[in-house]
Amino acid sequence: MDEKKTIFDYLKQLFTTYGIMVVIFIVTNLLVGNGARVLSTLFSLGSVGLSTATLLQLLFLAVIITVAQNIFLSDLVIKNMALIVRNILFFVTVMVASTLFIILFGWFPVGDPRAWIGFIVCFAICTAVSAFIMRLEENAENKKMQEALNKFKK
Amino acid sequence: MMKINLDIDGKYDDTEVIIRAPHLNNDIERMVAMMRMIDMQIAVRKDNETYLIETDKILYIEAVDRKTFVYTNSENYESELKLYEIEQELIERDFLRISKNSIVNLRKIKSLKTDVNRKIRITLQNGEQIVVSRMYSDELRRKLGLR
Repeated sequence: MDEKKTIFDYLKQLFTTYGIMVVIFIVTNLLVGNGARVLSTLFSLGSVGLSTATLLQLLFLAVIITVAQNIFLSDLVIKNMALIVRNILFFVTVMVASTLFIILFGWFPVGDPRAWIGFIVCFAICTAVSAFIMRLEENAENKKMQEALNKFKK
Repeated sequence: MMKINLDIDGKYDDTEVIIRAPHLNNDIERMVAMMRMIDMQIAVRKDNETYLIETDKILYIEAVDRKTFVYTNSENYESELKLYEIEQELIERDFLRISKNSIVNLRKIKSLKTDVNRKIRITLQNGEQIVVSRMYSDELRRKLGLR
């Protein structure tokens, strides 16, 4: 058994995710905020800043991501599952949650197919790249450990 | 009160340990088991019978509900010793603690894989899988020369 996580560990995880999201949205807002103002509720204030509503929506999404991380990317709930399946389930959950937020909070015009294609393409690329990198890291680490074990047993 | 007599003399060819007691109890069984480990053997029990098994036949040892279980390729036994007592004796013989309640024989590991939360999943020679907790993963990496 590992040491138990405290509420502060979960809060740290939540606010790390939230902080990263807010920074990404601040940078995006500075770049396209004024232009996207009429298209997206996320940038309702233009490049002036992010609204309280946007910050709360991002916080809520960060909570969902943190919960999904603890369900799928740790052994807190699921003890035995391949890492690749864990990653797929995690990304599917985040995608479903993001889609709901887009529809509920009007993050972009839901009737615009180009916006949806853009969202899906961006999400798919990010997911594929991160899954690929994780897979490469995992394979390299496994190979290194196996070689070290074989050397040790000689 | 237990009396300990040491008779060290060059006239003896070998080391002999004699235990004299009015009856066999747990303390004596544990004492014998610990001495056995010096000889690379461990005294274990199964179905009310005591066996001596070579330590290099052990895959891993686990403590469950204050009992210590010893696993080999095809059998599992119970030991009178506590996990930490076995660990003290076997740590220099390629055994390593992998969680609060288990130690593994590194020479019986077939493969290693990374798992969630920086844990390591071990597949043993008999196909059984056990997980190295995050706390002990770094120690395993160090032991294998990866740190």
